[in-house]
Amino acid sequence: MIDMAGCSEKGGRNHNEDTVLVKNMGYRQCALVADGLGGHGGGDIASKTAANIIMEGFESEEVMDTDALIRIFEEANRAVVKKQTMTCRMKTTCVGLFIEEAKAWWGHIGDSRLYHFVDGALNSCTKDHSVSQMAVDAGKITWEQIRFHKERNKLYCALGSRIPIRPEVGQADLDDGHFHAFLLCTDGFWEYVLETEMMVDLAKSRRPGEWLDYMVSRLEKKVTGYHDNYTAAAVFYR
Amino acid sequence: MEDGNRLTTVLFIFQRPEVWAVILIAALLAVFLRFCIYRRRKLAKEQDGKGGEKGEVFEGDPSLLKPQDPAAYRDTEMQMPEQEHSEHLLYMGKTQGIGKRADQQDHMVLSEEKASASTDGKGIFALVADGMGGLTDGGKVSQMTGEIMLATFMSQKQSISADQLLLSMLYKANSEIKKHFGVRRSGSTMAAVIVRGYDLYWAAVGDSRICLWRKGQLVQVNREHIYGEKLDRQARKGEISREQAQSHPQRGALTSFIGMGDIGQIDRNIRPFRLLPGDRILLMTDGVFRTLNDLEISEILKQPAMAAAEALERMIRVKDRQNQDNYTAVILEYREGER
Repeated sequence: MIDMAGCSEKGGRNHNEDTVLVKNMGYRQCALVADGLGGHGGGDIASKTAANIIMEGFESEEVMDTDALIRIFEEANRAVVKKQTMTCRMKTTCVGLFIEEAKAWWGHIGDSRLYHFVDGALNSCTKDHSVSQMAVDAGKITWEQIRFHKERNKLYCALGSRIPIRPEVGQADLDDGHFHAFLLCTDGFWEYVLETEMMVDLAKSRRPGEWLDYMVSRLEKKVTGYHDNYTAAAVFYR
Repeated sequence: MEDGNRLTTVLFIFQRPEVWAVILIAALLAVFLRFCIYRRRKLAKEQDGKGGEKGEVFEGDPSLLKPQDPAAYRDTEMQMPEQEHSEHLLYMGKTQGIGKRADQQDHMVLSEEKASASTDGKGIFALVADGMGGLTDGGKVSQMTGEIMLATFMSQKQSISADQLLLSMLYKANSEIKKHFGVRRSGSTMAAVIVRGYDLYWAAVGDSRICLWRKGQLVQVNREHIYGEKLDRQARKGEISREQAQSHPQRGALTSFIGMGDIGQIDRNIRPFRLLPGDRILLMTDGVFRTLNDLEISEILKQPAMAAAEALERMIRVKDRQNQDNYTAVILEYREGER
């Protein structure tokens, strides 16, 4: 049994350059979020392009596996590069979750994250392609400190890259009798919601829409008014 | 000749019965000692194996205790295997004061005063309640809420799940208060937790708070039932401005409380929430958090439960707020068992 929800707000900015797509095709389900990079211009075009290409690729692939995932992301990358102009080198992060026959696959590029909760406890989280994550790998800071780290916004990888990219992929078996929950979100979201808060709100929520609502309440209480676009998608699998 | 003499002496010694007695006693002692050492080693082995069996109450599938991927947490604590073998204890701390008010309308309950294992069947129950001052008998309502919920908790049937139990405790209290005081004549907030095994369950109505302190971070567990929540939602949609929402005079009015008749919203978990060693659970009425800020509270919670409760009390007194409200705080500290 699958239940999905998504939300996206411009926050304290003038435009929303994030995109969220959530689709249930019956035999296959997909959720993805993308964060168009501002500062390069055209972030919203980049995130929408990537999201649509990935969703289309996902609908048309015969068999879903890690190879298919990589192919789809590479195609999205090419599509974003095509949209680029001399004055506007738009880019975007993306994280996508695909579920078919009680198996989940996910892939990501950039610092939008996928959190996987099993029976309400955090099981894994994707690693950001950022300078801050490199600092964690080097043992300079802890993973929890990324949130407050000044290099957090410096990405070394995103869709719209002229050199070949490769998404990081993950997977999980969902038919193990446990309750699985996924949270996909852009950094504007996870910046303001702690993992403990995600777990507390998950324990309260019958449906993913409720879960998002609780977390958004928290975010809105913490922000100053100049905050980034924030976007999230949530999936429950029982 | 000398050798012959020596041999004769030795042989002579062995002819004496006292010598044989000493030899026999020494031999018996040696055997006895060996036996003691053997028994001690055997007992020690049994003891190690026994650690896990006392009172482990699982709700649901014991295979939930398999280790979780520590990659998500960069520290190297592997929680789950240890929990199978060592007993965790809850240490309690509490404090309460009248502040600068004429009477005390807060109430608190703890089902255990001393450090207890939360694995002993029923679990441990804690509550704070803040009687609504504007309505009559606020103090009586908060007291009755606490007492009825405690009585219901103590008389629980083992088979009921803790979240269902909290609901029935809450409904019982609310219906008794309805009978006694009528509807909307009087009221109280209620924030309660049950810790059973490794799991936390909570239920709250009103604006008293339940917080979880984990690894130095303070997280508010319940979302308050105040009109301000609705105003903020309207501001998000753009129906009113943020300033209008923030400055609205009814911002703090309760939208759900004990004594309102049919309870409106209840903030509660429908699935167990797993505690980690070192976690603190803090229940407090608004007299605490309107005087102390999150940073101050978080800093204080680094201390063990009793010391932290005393420190909260001290800091509230030091702040000496002009109109200090009744304040109540209960702290539950979840610690690795020290046997």
